[in-house]
Amino acid sequence: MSAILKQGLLPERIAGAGRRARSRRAGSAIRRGVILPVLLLVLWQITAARGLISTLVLPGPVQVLEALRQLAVSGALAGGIEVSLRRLALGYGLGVAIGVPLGILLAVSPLARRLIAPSFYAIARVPLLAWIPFLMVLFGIGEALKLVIIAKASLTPITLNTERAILGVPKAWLELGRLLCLGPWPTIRRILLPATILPVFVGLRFGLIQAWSALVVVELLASTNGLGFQLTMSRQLFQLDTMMALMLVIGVIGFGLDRGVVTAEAYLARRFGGRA
Amino acid sequence: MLDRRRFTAGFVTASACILPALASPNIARAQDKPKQIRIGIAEAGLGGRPYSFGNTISVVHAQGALEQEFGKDGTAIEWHFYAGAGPAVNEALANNALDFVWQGDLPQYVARSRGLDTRQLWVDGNRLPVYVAVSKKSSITDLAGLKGKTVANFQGTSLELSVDRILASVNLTEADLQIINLDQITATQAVIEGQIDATFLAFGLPPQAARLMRVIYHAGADNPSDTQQASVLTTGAFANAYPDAVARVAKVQINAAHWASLPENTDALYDIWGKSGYPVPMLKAIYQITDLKQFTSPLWDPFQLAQMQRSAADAFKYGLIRTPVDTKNWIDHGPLDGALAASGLTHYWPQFAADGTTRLA
Repeated sequence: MSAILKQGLLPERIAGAGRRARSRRAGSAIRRGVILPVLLLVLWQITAARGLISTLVLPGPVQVLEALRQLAVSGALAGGIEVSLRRLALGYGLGVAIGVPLGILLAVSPLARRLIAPSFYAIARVPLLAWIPFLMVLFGIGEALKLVIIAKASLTPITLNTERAILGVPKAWLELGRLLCLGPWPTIRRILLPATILPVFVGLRFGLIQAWSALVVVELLASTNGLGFQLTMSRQLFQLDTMMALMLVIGVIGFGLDRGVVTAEAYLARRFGGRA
Repeated sequence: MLDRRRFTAGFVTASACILPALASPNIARAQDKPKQIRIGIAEAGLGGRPYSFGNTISVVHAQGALEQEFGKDGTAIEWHFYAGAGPAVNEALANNALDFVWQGDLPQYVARSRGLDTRQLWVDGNRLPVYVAVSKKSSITDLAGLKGKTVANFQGTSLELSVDRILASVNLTEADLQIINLDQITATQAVIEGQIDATFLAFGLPPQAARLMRVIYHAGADNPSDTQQASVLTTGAFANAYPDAVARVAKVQINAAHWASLPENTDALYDIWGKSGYPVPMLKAIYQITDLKQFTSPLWDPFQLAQMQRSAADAFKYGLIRTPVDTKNWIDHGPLDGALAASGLTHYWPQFAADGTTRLA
């Protein structure tokens, strides 16, 4: 009995200890990761408080937080975030809607690969900023331009990762499925999805990061609203504390979006038995 | 292994030593003669050419008058032209990178509301025009027709105060329009290409654009309170350190303004403005100068003083500045009055009442 218990419990205990050790390591990594930002924050506050750099050029952290509070109270922040997130959702949604099917098509159809892949790679290799003047001529400077730029930014990583994910499924797994006489849906559910979901998610995650960066860029130019526009406007009106508060908001939202995708990825990994 | 605590302490100490060095102001102490005079102009020519127009400081620049005046003292004169207009000049001011600036009204109030120590010296850019233009094909015929339309404005520049005032005259605010922040050239192209409905412009239409666009509103001599004003300012630090140099700059500028006010020099004045790359016929069409003396006047007459009060109040009212600006004691009358007296020009330029149209003297 005790032997059974030992056999049964020991791995559990070891696994538990391992988890604790991992979480300790993770905790200490986070602590170390915090050192530099905290140091910079302290240095920033000292610089501001002692007037080493004019607070007009580099407002102190307290001033920036106050600007953030004013932005929040006035409702301007919520308005800007709403506009920007809606734009992101539409542009990124467009990127996913095109990128995932395109990636699948490139992976499964040799003809499509021969026809589309060279053009796609050529387009992908021209940096986003270089596309903007051309896209402006094509789509004007309205909402369509913004959505196209955001979609284009997210399209490349999404398509490439989807394509590689499907190409990376071991042939033996599909053969095993055939041997077990699995129909198309069980093949997708039992073999393709678990094998590809994580690499595809890596693409979705990179795509989202790219989309968020692109959003801020397009809102900086030729825009009438959104966080990027508010950022430009606060610079034009020499409200650098507001500008830095908006930078903070943009950073936090970007971080939050990334964490959201990582969490979803971990959930799907558990659900489909992959590794996070 | 490097001791972590010692490394951190060293890092903080090193940073604390480097930062003040980066931030040290250029003007070290009071001396009779500055090593350099740095002038920032909130305007640049076509494609960023280092020339300006629509003012008389362009004459000082083009004729090398300050270089002549200060050359014998070994004082270097530096000219900086900012395509980013007033907001870019303010950033340079905040970095202690300029001693004199020429800029339009709103950025001056923005700078003062943020605590930049500037002194108003003399007017240079009286009643600068503002236009609202649409495509020839557009159905918009008047200001009220702008409601809900996409309209370009070069935000944060001196244009913006006029924009808000002109909109207020037909009970509109920027929020009633889709305002898009574009520089003037891009805005003009965008209207022609039909990407936006209209644009506010501070310097009219290039000749090619004029054929494709229609002006629906023009602020000029008839409605001076809607026009932009520009002036020359110095920093408090420079004024305190080199009062003599400020007085000498004033004399040079007043001479240039007088030169520009003489009808026989009009062609030469436009040629100087033309160095900016904008064609002379276009510049003539923009400024439509009928009264040279009124245009070149450096005086703080009742109109300019009233306009300053109005603009400071409006900048706050329209939410362009967060703290109200006190215009009291902002103008340093000494250098201008001294230069006028020395040149015998005290009563040369006309003065106007607060409305800007009633001539006083």
